Amino acid sequence: MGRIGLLVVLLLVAAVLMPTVLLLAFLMLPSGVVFMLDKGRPKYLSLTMAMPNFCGAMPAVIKLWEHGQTYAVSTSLMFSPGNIVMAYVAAALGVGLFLSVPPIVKIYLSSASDRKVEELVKVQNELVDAWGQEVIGANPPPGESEAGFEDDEGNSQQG
Amino acid sequence: MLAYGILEQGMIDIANLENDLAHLQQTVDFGDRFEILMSSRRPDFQSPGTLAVEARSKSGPGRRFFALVCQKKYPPRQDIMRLASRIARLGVVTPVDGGAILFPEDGIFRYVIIFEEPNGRKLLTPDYPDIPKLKEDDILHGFVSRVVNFFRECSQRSIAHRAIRADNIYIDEAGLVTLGEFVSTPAGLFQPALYEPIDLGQCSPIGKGPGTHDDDFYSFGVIMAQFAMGGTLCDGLSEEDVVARKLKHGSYGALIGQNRIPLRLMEPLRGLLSDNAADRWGLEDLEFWMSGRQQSPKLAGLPPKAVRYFKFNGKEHWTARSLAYGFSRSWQDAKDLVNENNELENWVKRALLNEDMGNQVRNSVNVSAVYAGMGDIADRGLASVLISMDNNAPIHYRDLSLRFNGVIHTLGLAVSSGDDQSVKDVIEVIKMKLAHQWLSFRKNVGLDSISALKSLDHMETTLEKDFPGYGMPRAIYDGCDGMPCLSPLLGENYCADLASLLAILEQQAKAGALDGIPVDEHILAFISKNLKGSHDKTLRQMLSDDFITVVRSYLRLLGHAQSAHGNMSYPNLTAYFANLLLEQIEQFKNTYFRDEMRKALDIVSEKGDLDNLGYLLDNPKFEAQDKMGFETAQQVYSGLHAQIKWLHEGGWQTSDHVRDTAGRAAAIVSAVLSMLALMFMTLGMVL
Repeated sequence: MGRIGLLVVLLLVAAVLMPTVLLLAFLMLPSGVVFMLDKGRPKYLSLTMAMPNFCGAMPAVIKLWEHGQTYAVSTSLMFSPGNIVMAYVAAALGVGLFLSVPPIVKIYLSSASDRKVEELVKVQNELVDAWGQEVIGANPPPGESEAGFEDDEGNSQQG
Repeated sequence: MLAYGILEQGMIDIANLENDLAHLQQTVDFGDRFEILMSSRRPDFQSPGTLAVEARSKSGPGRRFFALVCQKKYPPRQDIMRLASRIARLGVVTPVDGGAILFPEDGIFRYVIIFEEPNGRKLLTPDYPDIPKLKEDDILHGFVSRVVNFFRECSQRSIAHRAIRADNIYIDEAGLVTLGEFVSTPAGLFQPALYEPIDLGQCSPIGKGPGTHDDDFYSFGVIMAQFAMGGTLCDGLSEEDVVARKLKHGSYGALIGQNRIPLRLMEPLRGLLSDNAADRWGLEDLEFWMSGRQQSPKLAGLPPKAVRYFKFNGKEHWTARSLAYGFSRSWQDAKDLVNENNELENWVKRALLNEDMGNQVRNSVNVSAVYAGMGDIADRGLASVLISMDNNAPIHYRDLSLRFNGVIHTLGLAVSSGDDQSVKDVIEVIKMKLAHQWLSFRKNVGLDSISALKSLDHMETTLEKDFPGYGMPRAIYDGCDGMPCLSPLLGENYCADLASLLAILEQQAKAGALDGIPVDEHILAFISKNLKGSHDKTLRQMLSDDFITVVRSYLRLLGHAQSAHGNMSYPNLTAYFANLLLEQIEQFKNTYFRDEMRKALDIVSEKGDLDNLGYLLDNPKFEAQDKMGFETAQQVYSGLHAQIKWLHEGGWQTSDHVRDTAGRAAAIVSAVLSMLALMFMTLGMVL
């Protein structure tokens, strides 16, 4: 089944569940807007925001289904402040999560980079043990950067 | 007392050898059977060119033995040693055992031959300076019958004694005669001209070749004549005078002359002293005569006499043979004479009345120009003239006179005695085809001569082959069975066979006397001659400029030699070569492989296994794999370096990478939390 088939199925489902679709569309409006504005590939911000937003909209959808899934109930639930707050706050939490992760990741990557360098230097030392200093060629010896020896913190020192 | 030039030389050699070996006083083991008592000299069993010492059997007292320590420059007749040891020891001293053994005192291998002591004393000693006159019956029973038995065994084994002379004879109190040993020096080397047929008497000591039974019968005849007449024949004459006298009167006339000898002995003496080898008495004739049958031996006729003499160097020569011999003794004067005027040709034609010989003399000088570039054509011309004047004489060339079938032996002995001029002369004789010319002048050419000529042609091909394992050394080893390896690298050591070559190299390695690759053209020729199969491929690799390739090829040859001789262990030699191979191991880049190979070298060295050492690194894939591995390792190292450099430059901390990683992490966390939230909501509804 290709993309057209999927679209047909979705349209059929949307036609059958129109009240639900309308309710979700309204409550997940922030995710939709961000999805359109998000230029990232993949769209991590949209994903991070859409999933909690959907969770926040789910109680309203469940109520709609309990009351027979009519347009009237859908409209009343759509404009219920409680539902709007719950859905939009959940979306805001997603955005918050997205904004709080990079500093943590940066600290993690710095430490991981040092560990990776140690691993690579170890492999270089093994190569020198196995093949002698000649294997180094024009490169600096293991543990030394081109600019000079590394200090304990991995920063290079001139001279 | 006999005092012939060549024997005097032999005696001087003994004195020199005695001085050289004076430092050897310890008893030396000769295998499991004998021990050599170097401190106990036995001059009563001395042979020229060797040193006689006492030998003792390890199996206990009883039989008495003596040993002769041989010299490398006079190689013993190894080729007949085994055959000679099987001859019944009745009437002759035969070897019991022989071989190259190590003298631990100076670490040198020498060839030693063990003999059982004969009965009686030497015929000639300081106390008995003259040969006794024996009665006819004593000669027949005490000498002739015993020696004929020996000749019978010799003819079955194709062995010639070539040392039948008065100073090499033992006689006991009962008058029984025993011939002395004949294997300690080359055939006929110390045989004075008196005991030699005329052609051999003219030969240089090293030019006599292996000799024949006919030569033995002649020597036997001379001894018989001496016993019959008593005293020493031709006493006081020089070697040259003895030959000149034989040439003038014929052997019988020169030695017996008008002397009175028992009538019964005249017949064998005429037969044995015949100057024509074809007419000379042999074993059958002697056996016929001993059984009482009458024969009438022919004496070779004397050569035609000229109507007037040819005066050369103050001597008057009446025959071409005599003049040819005179020329050969004064080579330079003769060369000037022959090449400068026609005096000789005129004398041959007008005084000797031999037109053919005169033409041959003229042509010999002219034809020799063809050989320009191979030697001195004037020398070649004179040699050729001498052949045309006396085709019974040996080939004369400068100071060398050699028998036709002894050319290669002459070359071998010239090399072994370090006589460079003779080496050069023999090579010129071969290249200038003088042997071919000599044979072309023979009236009766036998199968032996054809075979000898074929061998000579083969030798010439080998001689000119410029390839490791061939050339002059190979020609010598191919042509002279039993010749020791004459490599200067082996020093004084006597290298009898491949086993002793390895043992000598082992000893040199142990003493730290080796330097570089212990190989030269002699060693290669000796190995390739004595190893079975063709090893040309390995020998070709010896030409390589690559040191390691040469070492490995040589090791392969030595390994084959080791396998062929009982796989004896040579730890010092193996360690020496292992050390040479370290250079190759150090060329490998992979340190683990190097360590493994060093361990393997140590193991093989401890075992003394040259064969395996040769094959240890003999895999061209090793080098290719090592090179490929190294190049890959270099690429990997460079890749790692680039990666480290990128990380040092904050490759993982760029805003894009952080954003990307953080976005992915946030999406994952969000998904997980959302899943949990949905799960709880669903649970709340259900409960």
